[in-house]
Amino acid sequence: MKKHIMIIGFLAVLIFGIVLFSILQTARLNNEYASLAVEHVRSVPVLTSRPALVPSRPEDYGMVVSNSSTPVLTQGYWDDLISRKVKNLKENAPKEVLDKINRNIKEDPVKLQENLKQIEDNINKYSAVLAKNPSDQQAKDRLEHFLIYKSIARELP
Amino acid sequence: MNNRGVALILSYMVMATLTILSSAFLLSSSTEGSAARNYSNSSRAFWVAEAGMAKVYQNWRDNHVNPADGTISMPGGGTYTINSADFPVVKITGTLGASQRMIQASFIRIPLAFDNTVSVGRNMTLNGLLCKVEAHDKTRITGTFSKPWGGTAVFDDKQEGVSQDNTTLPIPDLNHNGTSDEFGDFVALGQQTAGGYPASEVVYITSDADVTIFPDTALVGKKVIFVEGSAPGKGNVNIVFGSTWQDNQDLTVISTGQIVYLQPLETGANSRLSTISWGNYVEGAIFRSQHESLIYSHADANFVDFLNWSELTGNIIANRDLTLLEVLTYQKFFYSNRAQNGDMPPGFEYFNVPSGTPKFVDWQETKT
Repeated sequence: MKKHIMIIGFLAVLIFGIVLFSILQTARLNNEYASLAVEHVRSVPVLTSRPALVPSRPEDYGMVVSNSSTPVLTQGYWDDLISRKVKNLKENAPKEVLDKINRNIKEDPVKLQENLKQIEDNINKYSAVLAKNPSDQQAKDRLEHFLIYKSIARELP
Repeated sequence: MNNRGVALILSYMVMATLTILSSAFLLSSSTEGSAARNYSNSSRAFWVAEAGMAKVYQNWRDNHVNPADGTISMPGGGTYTINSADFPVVKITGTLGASQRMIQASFIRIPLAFDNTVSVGRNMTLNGLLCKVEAHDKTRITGTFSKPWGGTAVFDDKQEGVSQDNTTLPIPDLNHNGTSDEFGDFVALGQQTAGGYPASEVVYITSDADVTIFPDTALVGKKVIFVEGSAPGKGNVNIVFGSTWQDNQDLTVISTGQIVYLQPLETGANSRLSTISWGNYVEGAIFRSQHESLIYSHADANFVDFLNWSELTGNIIANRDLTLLEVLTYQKFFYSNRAQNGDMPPGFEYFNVPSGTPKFVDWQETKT
């Protein structure tokens, strides 16, 4: 008889455990669905206005600011600036990108000299135009571009 | 041992077990019912949101009606709420009982010009004796193409005299003053683009001076550089070499002035450096240059001073003239279908021109 009591007791505890487990599981599932709904309610963003734009400092991004009303920046200025930038780029760019760029800029020395002559001719041409008419903005822009090209031709290869 | 006493204890135990069991099953079935209801409501709320999204998109696509914020009841029960504060991103929240599900998507009209390699709103001119231009895929010109100094031009598919719907991008009325394509709309486009990305991905510069950009590690991961001048033609930008030289970059430079791109070398894998300018776009190079870009100029696009051959992959859109000047060797244009497929560079999503091809992109269910 004692044996029977123990078996029945064991079965009762087992059944009770299973039922309790099942209740807890169902409750967990229920909470999951309920919390899913609640989470969505809480997380719908209410955008009343766009965040105000905060101006950045160009120098923090390696940018150079120059006033277009100032005289044309000199060859020395661009040589120095582009030399520093190219050095920095060669130190930081991924090898594959550098290899690709090096292939692109690989130039026949004779062709390079021809190009430099073209650049020099244009610098002289637009310098003369500007000397006659210092307010010619287009000539100023073109001259500046050729000064930059000359620095690139010297510093990039 | 008293057997009757034992039987009494046993019967108590059986009764207690049965009572616990029946209560437990009662509780369990009640909780299961509640779970099933929550699950059903959650699923139905999702489909209510989907139905709302379909309705709003159809109205925008077919009737050109932009979504208006509000809550609409569904005949079968439930409501959906429209949030279009971030348009072209539209958020729809479906609600049924205590359950809510939110989905979002972008409604964009892909401008017809994105289907072309070269789009010119007026005339295209090849203005150099020794120059050669190759344009692959479609070239669409509203005016005419000419080469008064000779030179060589090779087009896969060139059409002249086509409608400006196919060649230009007017700026939508983004400042909501009733008139589109004004300088104020352009400024609004720049500000909305810059304001639409996290601050960590934006460089916003207010300046009437010229800003020269060089590749810089501080620009890695940036999406937008907006240089805002106080008037048209102010805040010019020069880009020398590119922006980062890194892989997987997708940066758009926006300027209220002109943009000059000298010696493009942005050759990182899957990288794109695009430009949007109120003024002219100017490009030149002395060494061979290669880059992928979507170039938009509200004015002219000028390719000048090429002393070697240059390749631009992407789309170039000049609302006015496109001129190739003093190009001593090759300028090659190749088509990229990324924008046409909805992978637009930052800023270009605001060109929601009515004539564009409607697309429904970036659908997702959101929790945040």
